[in-house]
Amino acid sequence: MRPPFRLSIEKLKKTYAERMVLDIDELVLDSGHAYALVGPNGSGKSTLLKILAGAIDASEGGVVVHGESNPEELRVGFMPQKSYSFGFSVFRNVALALEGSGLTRSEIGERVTSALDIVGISDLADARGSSLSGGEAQRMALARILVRDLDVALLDEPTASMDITATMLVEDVLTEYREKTGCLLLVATHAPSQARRIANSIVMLSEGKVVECGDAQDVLLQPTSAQGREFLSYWSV
Amino acid sequence: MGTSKKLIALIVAALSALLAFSLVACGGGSSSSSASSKSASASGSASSAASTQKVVRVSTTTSVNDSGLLPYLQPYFEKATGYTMEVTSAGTGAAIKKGETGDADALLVHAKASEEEFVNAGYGVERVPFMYNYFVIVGPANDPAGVKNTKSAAEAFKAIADSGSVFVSRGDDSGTNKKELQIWEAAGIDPSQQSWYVNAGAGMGATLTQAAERQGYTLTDKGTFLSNDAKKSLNIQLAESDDMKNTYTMIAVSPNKWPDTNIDGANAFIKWMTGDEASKLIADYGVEQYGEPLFYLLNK
Amino acid sequence: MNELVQAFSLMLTPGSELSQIVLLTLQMAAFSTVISTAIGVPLGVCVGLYGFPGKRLIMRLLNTLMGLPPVLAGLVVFFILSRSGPLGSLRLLYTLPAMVTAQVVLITPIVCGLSATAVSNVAPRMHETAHGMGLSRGRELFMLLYECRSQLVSILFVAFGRSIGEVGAVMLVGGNVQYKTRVMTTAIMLETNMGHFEYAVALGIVLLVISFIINSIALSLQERTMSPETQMVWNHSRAGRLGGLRK
Repeated sequence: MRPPFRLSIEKLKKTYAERMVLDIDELVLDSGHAYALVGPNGSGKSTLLKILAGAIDASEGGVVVHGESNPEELRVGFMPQKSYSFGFSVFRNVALALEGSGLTRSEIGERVTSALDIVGISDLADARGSSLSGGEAQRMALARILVRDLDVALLDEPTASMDITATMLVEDVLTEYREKTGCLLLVATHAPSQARRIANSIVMLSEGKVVECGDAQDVLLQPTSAQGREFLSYWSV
Repeated sequence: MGTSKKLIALIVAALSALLAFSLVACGGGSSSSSASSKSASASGSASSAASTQKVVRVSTTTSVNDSGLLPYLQPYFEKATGYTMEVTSAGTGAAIKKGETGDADALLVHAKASEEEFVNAGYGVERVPFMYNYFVIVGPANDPAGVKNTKSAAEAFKAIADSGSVFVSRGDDSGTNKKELQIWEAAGIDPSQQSWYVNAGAGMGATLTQAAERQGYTLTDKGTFLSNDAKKSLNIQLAESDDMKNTYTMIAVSPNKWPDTNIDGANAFIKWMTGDEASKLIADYGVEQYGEPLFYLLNK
Repeated sequence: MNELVQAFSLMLTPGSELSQIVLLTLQMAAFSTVISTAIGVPLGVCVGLYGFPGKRLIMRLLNTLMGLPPVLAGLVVFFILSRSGPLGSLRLLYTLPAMVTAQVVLITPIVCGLSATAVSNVAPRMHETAHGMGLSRGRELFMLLYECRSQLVSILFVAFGRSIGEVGAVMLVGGNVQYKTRVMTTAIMLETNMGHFEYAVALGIVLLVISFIINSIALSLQERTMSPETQMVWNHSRAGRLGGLRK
């Protein structure tokens, strides 16, 4: 387990075609914590995750890492909203995430088997990745996160296509994973119940800005901002 | 998904309807325009059924077509007879074949043996030879084979073979190609397997281009040569030798084989072509541009 | 029917003119396909993969060139290789290399455009996932090509089909010289001009049968070889590392 570190997001801006989609003055995220990233559609949740994952570049500003002398060494995993499934077997789809990890072939095999077992698709190990249903594909994508020892795990609506039992399973799995690895978990979600179950803290975005940030219970029960109150009022209905 | 499929189906239906409509429109447009042009040439007197008989389909060889003679004569012919001339050109073999398949009313070709075969098989009425010119041997300006000093085509070919100079043959069984092979035979040479002998399998224009590029010799009709860019890098090295005479013949396609061919039109074409007006026009053709006629009339 | 039997028996007679024409045709098509895909696929992948200024213009140009009239391509190559052209001294006109050159000019834009389209259909969807899994850029590219393999193979067939069926350009720069540059299509043209319509059709059928056999062989090979072991390749790229870092 890596010693604790802290990500400090400072003056981060992202514009698409002159439209500001993300404008975060300051946001601090600590390792070992789980954050739920909430907010209405188009509030910039996915953009923030993609920037942190390095899949896209920020227009301005960035992330400063405290407590880690070599931030390039942090292992970051990202599960996009719609994960791509390769045409070959589910097993290889997951094993691909361990390429270059230095593990032996048999170690990779063990990890993949166990990850597929955890997300409940062991029976699909030999199926083609491209033949999976939406929910199955999401489980496979989650397995790609679970096989790795991550320092930062970024997940974009990981249970969007799953039924209620699968959703609850995934929530447990994620909590367990965080406790085991001590990673920083950042999950974008649309369900308040999920936010409460997996996260210590909630970060709420609205029109690209952070409007709420704090302990999960506090934010859910006593939102401080007008946008936060409005957003949560829909949730409680 | 259902709606997008419906949308696609709608688009496909709309496109195919558009296509069908445009085809009908084009077809209608072109037929009406051609009908109007026909009736105009027939002085507006012909009914639409008769107007289809007002077209004479002349099949000729590329070398005749390339010389520009028929387009030059066409307006005079149409004015004099009221017929519309439709000229198609192809290699001699294909040009004659169109007579056999009923796709032409009259032929204007220059390959005696094939013509006789065509008439003997009953496809043509009779051969009407009416004009001639001379093939010429063209080659590079420095004339490595010394063709200039020879007296006949056979002698020239022998000189070319002896010096091993490049000779580009049309190799397409055309009238020109047949003439060339006769000359080789007369010279007692079989060039077909020689390294200097290039079988181009092409029309006269492309063959001349190839001869120019390779700086080799070839046998050509004068009209095509004079109208081709090859004359910039090739010269006429031998002309008007008796063994290079090239006789042009017209043949009306026999209605016995293909009853719907326009025999009247074909006869009118042959009659006009051998008449005084055409004779004068043919004798004048090319004089202004090249300083000499491209064709000479027989028996005049 | 007689012509067809004649054409096939001639083709199968070693040393006959027709068998030589068939061999030359295959040679020409093979060279043209290999060279144009070797140039066109990497170019197309780059165009499809990266956003850069002028990309729309390049795509438009590619689409225009995909409809390049063969005769025009032939004419351009003709002028370049002609005695008075810039490369005239190479004496390449009326040779197999000249024909292949014209074909490459003709086919490369097609290969390029098609592979750009194939790649750009998959790349954006794959990029986030591959990056999020920690795949290196090189490995991601390899996986991208692997995922596009069936499109790439059909692009190969399109290229081969175009080159084996091409007439205008080949006629112009090859010159249809017997035993040297006469291929199936120009032979068909020649037979047609000579009025041997039935034999010309027979040659056409021979050409189609050859195409069919080659496509079948290639397809069955493709089915057999399309599961290469995943190689563990790693170069130190930033994938799997924290993004948005301030320097």
